[in-house]
Amino acid sequence: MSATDAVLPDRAPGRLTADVADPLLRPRFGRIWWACLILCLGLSILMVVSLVVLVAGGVGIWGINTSNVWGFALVNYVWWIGIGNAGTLISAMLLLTRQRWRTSINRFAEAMTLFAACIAGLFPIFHLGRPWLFYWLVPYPNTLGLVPQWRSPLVWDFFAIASYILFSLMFWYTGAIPDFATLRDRAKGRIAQVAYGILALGWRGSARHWQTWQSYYGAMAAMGVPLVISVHSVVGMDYAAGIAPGWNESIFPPYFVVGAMFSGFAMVVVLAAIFRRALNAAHLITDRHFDVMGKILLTGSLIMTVSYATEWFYGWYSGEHAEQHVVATQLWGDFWPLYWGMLAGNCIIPQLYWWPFFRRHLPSTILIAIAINIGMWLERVVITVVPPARGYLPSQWSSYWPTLWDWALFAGTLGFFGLLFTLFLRVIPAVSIHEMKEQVAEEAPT
Amino acid sequence: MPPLEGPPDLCADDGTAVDRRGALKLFAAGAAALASGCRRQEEMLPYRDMPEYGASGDAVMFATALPLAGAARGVLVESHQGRPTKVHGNPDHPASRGGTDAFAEAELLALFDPSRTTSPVAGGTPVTWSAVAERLRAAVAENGTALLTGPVGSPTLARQVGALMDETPGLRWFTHRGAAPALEVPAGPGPLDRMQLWPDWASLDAVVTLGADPLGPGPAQVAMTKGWSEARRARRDTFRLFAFEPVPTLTGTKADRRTPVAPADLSGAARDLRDALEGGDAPAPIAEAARALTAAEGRACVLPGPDLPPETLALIEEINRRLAAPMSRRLPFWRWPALTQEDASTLIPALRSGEVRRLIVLGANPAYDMGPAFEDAAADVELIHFGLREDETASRAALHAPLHHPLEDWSDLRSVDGTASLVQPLIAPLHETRSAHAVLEMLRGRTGTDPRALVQETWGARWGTDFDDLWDGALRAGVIDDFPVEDVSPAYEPAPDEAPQGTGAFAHVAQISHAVLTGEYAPNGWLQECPAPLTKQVWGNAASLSRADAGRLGIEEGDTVALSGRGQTVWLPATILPGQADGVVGTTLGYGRRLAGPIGSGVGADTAPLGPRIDVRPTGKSGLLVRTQREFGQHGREILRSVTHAEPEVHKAHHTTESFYAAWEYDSPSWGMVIDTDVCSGCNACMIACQSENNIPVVGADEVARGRHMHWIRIDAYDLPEGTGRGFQPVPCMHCEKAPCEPACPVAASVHDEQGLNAQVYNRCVGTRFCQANCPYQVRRFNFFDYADSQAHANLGADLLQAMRNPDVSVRGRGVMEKCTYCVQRIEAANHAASREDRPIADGEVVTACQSACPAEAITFGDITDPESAVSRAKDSPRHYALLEHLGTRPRTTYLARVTPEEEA
Repeated sequence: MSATDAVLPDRAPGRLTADVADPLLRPRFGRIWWACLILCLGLSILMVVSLVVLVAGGVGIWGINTSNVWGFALVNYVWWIGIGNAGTLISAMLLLTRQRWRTSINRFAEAMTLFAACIAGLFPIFHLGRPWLFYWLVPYPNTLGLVPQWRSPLVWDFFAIASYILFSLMFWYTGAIPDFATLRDRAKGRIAQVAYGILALGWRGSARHWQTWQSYYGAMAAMGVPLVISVHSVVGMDYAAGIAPGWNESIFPPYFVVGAMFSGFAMVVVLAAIFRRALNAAHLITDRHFDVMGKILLTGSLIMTVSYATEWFYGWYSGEHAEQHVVATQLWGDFWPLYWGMLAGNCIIPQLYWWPFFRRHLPSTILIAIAINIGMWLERVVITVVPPARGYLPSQWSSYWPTLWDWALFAGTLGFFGLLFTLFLRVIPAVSIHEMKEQVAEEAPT
Repeated sequence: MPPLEGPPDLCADDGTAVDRRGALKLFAAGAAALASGCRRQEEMLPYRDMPEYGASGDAVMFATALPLAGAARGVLVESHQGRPTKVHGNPDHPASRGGTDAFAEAELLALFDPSRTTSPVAGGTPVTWSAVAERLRAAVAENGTALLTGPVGSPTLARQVGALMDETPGLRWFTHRGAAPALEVPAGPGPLDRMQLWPDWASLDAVVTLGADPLGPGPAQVAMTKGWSEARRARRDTFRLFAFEPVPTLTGTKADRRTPVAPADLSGAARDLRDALEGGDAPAPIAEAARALTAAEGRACVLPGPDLPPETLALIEEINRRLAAPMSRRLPFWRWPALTQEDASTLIPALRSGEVRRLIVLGANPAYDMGPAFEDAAADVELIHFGLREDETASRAALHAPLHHPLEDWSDLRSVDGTASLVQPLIAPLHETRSAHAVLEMLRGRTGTDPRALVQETWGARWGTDFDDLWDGALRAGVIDDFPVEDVSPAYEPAPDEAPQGTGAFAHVAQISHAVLTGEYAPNGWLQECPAPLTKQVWGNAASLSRADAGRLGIEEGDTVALSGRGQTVWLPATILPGQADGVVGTTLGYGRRLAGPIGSGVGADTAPLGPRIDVRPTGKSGLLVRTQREFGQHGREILRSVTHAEPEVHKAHHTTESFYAAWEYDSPSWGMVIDTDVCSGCNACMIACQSENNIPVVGADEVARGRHMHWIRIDAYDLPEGTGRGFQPVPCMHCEKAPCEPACPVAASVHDEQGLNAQVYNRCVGTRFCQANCPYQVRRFNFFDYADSQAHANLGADLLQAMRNPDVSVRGRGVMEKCTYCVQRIEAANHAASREDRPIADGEVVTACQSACPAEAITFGDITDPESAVSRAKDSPRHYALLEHLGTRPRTTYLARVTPEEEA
């Protein structure tokens, strides 16, 4: 089993605990960490400023208009929620299918999911004309006796995101309880002992604890898989339930789910590389991990290519001039650089993963993963911006151009994601210690 | 503080110097007057059958007349508790017959315009009206004083001018004319020898225009559009309109056959037409027109443009006589043969020669209208200016004093066809302003005159003992029945060899603007944001070129071009117009105002000084063309549809998508609308009527450039398949039976009501904009900013403008979606009235704002469950179709297709 050899570190369980837990308890953080923190903090402040300006001034500060009503708000929402898809997928689906290599990456992939989903959740609220009334999408008891309008995909969306974020938080936290106990036990300072002690919820590592935890965690994983599918299907339906040419396509839900996993996995590759470098953990995240993820990305790329081809085919086959025109505009119209950039990032560049060299050569695989992330972002731009710009009535065709505030909010959310991740690396075990040890112990030659 | 020149002028114009004690008394009196709301006590009479008004909050209608370029349009003004809130057409007025134009609708904003001058100013210092009166007395007493007015359509004002000139030998009176009405053409050699052609559309079957634009903007637009549309509707099989013109006009757009002709070739076209009528050979389009004219002899006419040379006008006159054209030739409304009237063209020589050393300007803006020539000639002339605002002339004047807005004033006014009406105030003057009649009395040395008394004096002399009855009747009806209309017989002399018109490579045709007329409406935000009918440009003007010329010069749509002529150069964005003659540049007048308040200053460029021959040069820059529509092609989609006389039926969609949701059920009534694209002339009256009725904000050029605009009804223009121009399609909300916006809204702000309306609940809206994204007609409008109030464009959020708003319609705040409601406030008013009287709503009882404004009566509205209603009958027409029918939205607003001649199909 060469794969096993490659994906699990050849170390004693005790050493493993120290590898993961010690950096968290070390008082001094490196210069690079501080530099990252300050950069991300700056961008996070930019995000807060753009949100304040947005609420004070109105969504008119963005480049949206009468025909292109959503612009970057929806682009970034879909992109972030897509990234937020892979963590749960890795944790849940790979757990259920007993892919052993997941243990090295599932913890931070779940954190990525949680952070990305939270950031994604900002956009549906702040893109509203009157964001302070977002709670009207909730069926709360009120004097008017009004409940949300259930036919609206936005209501489905609200429930999908809310359940997904709650699920991700619980799954991630409960999965880390044994590790919090480990940290509690190893912590030297009083504050850390108390803080981790509270987070550990009195975990003692008894057989009964373990038994309960395992059945609970397995059940959660089984619940998680449909949620992963549903959340992005519903995002797809935000578009597919619309009547606009280029949106009204039944392929959208599955195509959005695959796209989300695709972009999420690409983000995991990038973060895994950063994490491996930051914690000096080449023995925890090995080349073999990147090899496996490269194969998954290649599969995703092929599915995306088929999806695009299907869109072209149905655009033509519909016989609807408006549909054909949207496809033609995407390919050859004013927005062609975006569309061809998307095709390059999502379909063409990932084909390099056919060669084992590119899957294992770290700089290459990171560059390809970044290309996929850009490609998927462009895909969301193309989906959100082109169809409304080329609707049924040519008189209302108009293009969307992002303003400074559109870009500021996007950059700000990237910074905020980085900030959360930088802090995460220093506070919470980035690799599941107990699962890793369990795996090592199971595989160890006795 | 300014020196105290007279008593505070609160209620009267006559004042004498006061001492300290007197001043104190006046302060006390002023305080008391403030407390008691001192206003002139006047009696206003309502339109007919009015209940006791004032207490109920119901709207009251007053009949009055509003001037456009000096000519009246009869209107009814809706007043809510003393505030005018909406202008409607007066169905009893022969020159409007219930229709309005964009300018009449926008007068409301002009009344409440916060940038109006509020009190007289001399050299930057506020002065009193008694000081103004003294200044005028002194001016009239001296030699070399002249009076410059706009076109005077008021018999009272003319009477006053006559009296003034009798009393003041040596005083000269000049009339400046901005926009001449359509079909007003020279009738002789002098600048004042003009006649107003007035075709009797009801008796016409064939009309040929040679550079004329009867349906275009101006004081004759409403009457001409009424007449033409009725002829078109009643005799669609026989009525034919042929247009020969250099730049596409609204008339050309509605013509059965439109032929682009350069301005210099119009005379040749007239000669060809005569030859063809005499049986000679002529180019095909002219021969076709001649055949139609001959076939309809006695029911045919040729309408000349205003700039044709006398020989051509004489020729056209001869053709019309031969055809026995059913039209009258009337003395223009502004001509007063009994008075010594001089044209403003003779003013500049008089200023240069020093004959006129002092100019009293009453309701005109020569510093802009007459351009640099006036500025030059009047450099050393003392100017006294009376007008609504501090404009280019006022800024140069030694004294500038504000006049009443027509909605604050008593007067009388003639319309283009000669009909006279009384003008009555709808509101007490908002500012320290005076009537033009009072100013003329000041010139005659009388102060404190009441304009109503002056108007009554005029009509008292005419009516004698019947005065009381006739006066009340005229106020109620808005029309004076017995005012005589004089006819003229044209007598042309060959023109002297004219000086060369310039050496430019292109002919320059400067048209009256649909938005600012010839500049006087530049301060009006509603009009500035009202898209040009054919180019959909807002907030500025453009240079239109033919496709061939643009290609030759390497100019693309939106490129900035430099236009030079007569030593002047202006820069404008270029736009390519299908159907424009080669070698011609079209522009619109009235832009490039320097001083037109915060709204109108520095918008566009003034092309009047360029003259008739210009050069065009690309500059390599672009970006000034701000439009509400950028794409004019239909891309093979069936949007603006056409039928022919031979095949009058529209092809229906092969399949429509079925709805997932159950059908709605209604108790009668359930509303619907039909818009006849065949008679829509694109005049924009509906857009401004809707803006006024529904409190729609102005967003400004920057917002429109970003693709945001707020008009609830827009008029789409599409290139016609014939390639000869563009056609119009007004698009309000479709009120779809299966509205895609309704299931999209997560908070049930977009709902279907029990009368079939697609209603928008503003208070419930959180602003997801999904409904807007999901509307295939894109009629929903979003408040990206707080357009109505705090982030309003320029000063359109001023407190004063709150008074203008329709109290029956909510003002929408930021972050809320809005759209056409079918004027639900009017539907509800009718519901209430009907339920009070326990009867069903009658057909035609509910009239939407767009429908009532439309001079072409292109819009029909009513109960579609009643098979006998006008709207149901319109829906039975073979020309009837639904826009984007195949989507299965089942719109309640539907269309009637254009009708094109067989040859084009």
